Amino acid sequence: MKRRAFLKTTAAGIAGSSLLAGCGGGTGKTGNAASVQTRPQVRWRLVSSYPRSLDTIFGAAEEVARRVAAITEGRFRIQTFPAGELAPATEVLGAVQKGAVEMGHSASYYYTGHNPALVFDTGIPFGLTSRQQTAWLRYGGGMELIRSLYADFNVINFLGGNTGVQMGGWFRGEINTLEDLQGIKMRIPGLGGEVMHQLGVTVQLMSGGELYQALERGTIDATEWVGPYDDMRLGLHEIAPYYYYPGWWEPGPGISFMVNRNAWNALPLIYRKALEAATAQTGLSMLARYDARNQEAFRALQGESVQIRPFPTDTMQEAERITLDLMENYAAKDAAYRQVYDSFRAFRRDAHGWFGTAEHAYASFAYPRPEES
Amino acid sequence: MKRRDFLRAAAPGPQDALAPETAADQVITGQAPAVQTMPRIMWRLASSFPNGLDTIYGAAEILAGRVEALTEGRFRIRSYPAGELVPALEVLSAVQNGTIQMGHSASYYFQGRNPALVFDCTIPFGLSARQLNAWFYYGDGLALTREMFADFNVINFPGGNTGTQMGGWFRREIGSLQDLRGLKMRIPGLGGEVMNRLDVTVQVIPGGEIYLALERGAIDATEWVGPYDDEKLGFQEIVKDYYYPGWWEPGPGLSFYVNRDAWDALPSAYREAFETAAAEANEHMLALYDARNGPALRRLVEGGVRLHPFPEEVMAAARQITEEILEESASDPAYRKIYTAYKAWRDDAYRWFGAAELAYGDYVFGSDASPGNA
Repeated sequence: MKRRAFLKTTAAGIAGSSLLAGCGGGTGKTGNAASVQTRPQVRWRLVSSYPRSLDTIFGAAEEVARRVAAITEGRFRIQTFPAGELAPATEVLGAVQKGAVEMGHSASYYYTGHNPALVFDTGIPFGLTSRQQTAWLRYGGGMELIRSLYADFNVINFLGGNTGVQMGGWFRGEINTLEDLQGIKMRIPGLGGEVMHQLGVTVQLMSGGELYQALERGTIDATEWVGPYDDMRLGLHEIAPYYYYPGWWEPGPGISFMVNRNAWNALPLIYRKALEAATAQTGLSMLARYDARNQEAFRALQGESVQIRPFPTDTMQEAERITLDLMENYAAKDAAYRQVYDSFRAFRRDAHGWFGTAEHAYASFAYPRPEES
Repeated sequence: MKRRDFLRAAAPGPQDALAPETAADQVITGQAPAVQTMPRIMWRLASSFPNGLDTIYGAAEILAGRVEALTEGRFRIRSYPAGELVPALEVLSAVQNGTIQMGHSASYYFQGRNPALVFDCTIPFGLSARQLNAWFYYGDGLALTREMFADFNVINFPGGNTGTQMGGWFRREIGSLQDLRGLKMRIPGLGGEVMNRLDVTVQVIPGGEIYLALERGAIDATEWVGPYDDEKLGFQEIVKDYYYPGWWEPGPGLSFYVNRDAWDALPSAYREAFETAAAEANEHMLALYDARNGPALRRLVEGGVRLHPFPEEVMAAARQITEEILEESASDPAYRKIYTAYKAWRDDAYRWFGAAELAYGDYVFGSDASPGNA
């Protein structure tokens, strides 16, 4: 914990620093001011909602910290903590809001209890893919809307990575019809869980570390997790014979960095820019890293005795109808939700029209479906 | 134009950097004052693209803006559109000989200097945007392409992507391979070579001249980029049949080139700033295209444009010919080395993207199955 230590460092910051006054000639149109006041020592703590074992996601927070330090020559340093060390996984937002830590790395849909519209910062079942989600946030008006939601928490948010379309998960039995979902016990959190519940699934919540044993002992019949790389690290392929795709409830979940407003406002401009740039860079590299790791894991998986199966189309259609009803219900009760949902939906319509053309036609021609390879 | 201004501005460039000792240990300890490590540096960047291709050209400006912000205005990069400092296709040489410190270009423009440079950008039936990034950052892509660019005294950084391009505008419908015979089409690069072997009469015409050529019937077809850029050139006013996908450019990557001596002279904090800014520009360019292409495609269709997929037999024949062409080049061992690595990556990537990503795409935007699209 040691909160006082960190407060002290932050306060001391201003004193330490540099003396650029007068250096350099008149080439710049701006840069004549001395940088003395602008490069203090700053130390932050970042709490992640993820354990070290989810190393692609947790690693993204470490990468931001490394980048920021490198750009500021070690003056702005961020110490990263995995889930549970400073705050429980799903209480990162609260910790940042209160200022217990300056920064968090988490998924906004953990906080729909505080504001249901936060779900759009992560993604919804049958929502946007990673590229579309990024485009909506950066250039489709999404970021302004989400930031206005986070303003209520005294927090400013930044894009912080994506996993790509997740896998549907591991099943002990085959799913050929909607009937096959009735009464099966599945670990699946969030909105996906709500939809599954309405499809007749008995929804369970448990942490990643418990999944192997629960599935092995038959406490659950199915579980979703992330994708080939993370799933194989949990050993799920050793137990369940069927691996279904796609994870329609997480088509491109975005992870976010959350920063306490007061801490943000206290940063010199250049450190804000460094943090902003580092989070952008990390958003890109987390997805690239998942793509690299998943393709390798998926190849390995195809050598195992796992049946890789698509969900039946009518299952997905029913799931999507339920999703649309759920969203409509939320929107009917909450004008702010409606506003974000409308923006998201309008973007989705155009994005799906476009991705259904060149991207999808190419993918459809070029990529082998698992049942074909 | 004002070339003299530019030449003058250029001169102080790399010599300005006076921080040979910058040192990694400062980064770790953060004790030393910043005095020696924040010199004033001014670079010039020549783009191979005009202002009009604002999404691509804009990536260079994003990079420049971010680098300036990260260094409190001490490291500045001034970007120039194609033709102002050097012609579009001479960007690599200009960076190589230090006329300018950096460039923004598409490496397949320089395949005459090393045919394997195409792998830094794209090949027909190559990697998608995401797959190319994964190969660069977490595969051996960046190491392999940097080996090639070392011969030019250049270090390269991924610098944006358009996503899968469209196949282009056709004055007549393409229902079969037969329909391609004798067709006069504007299509450069490897795609053009493949089309040539499919009996297309290939033409190479700069962007600004395509509209007129298509209008006058000097060409029967042209490709360009995608809905957003194509709409700006106005092809929809002349031709209504718009084909997809641009299989010759499934995910073309742009690159930033930096002169090695200029790079080596940068303090390490500036290098970090640059690298971070380049990655950010890389991501932003694709996101901006993804945001702009959707509405543009909707407008085109509302305006009467008809969308058609290329026939399966055209795609299959093109893929076959592409492989033959690449194999011919691979008689060169240096080419073969990178080609082999690229192909292995592509096989794994295609297999993985053929599962969750493709199935999700099949359902959500590749069919009428989704009630959300109703």
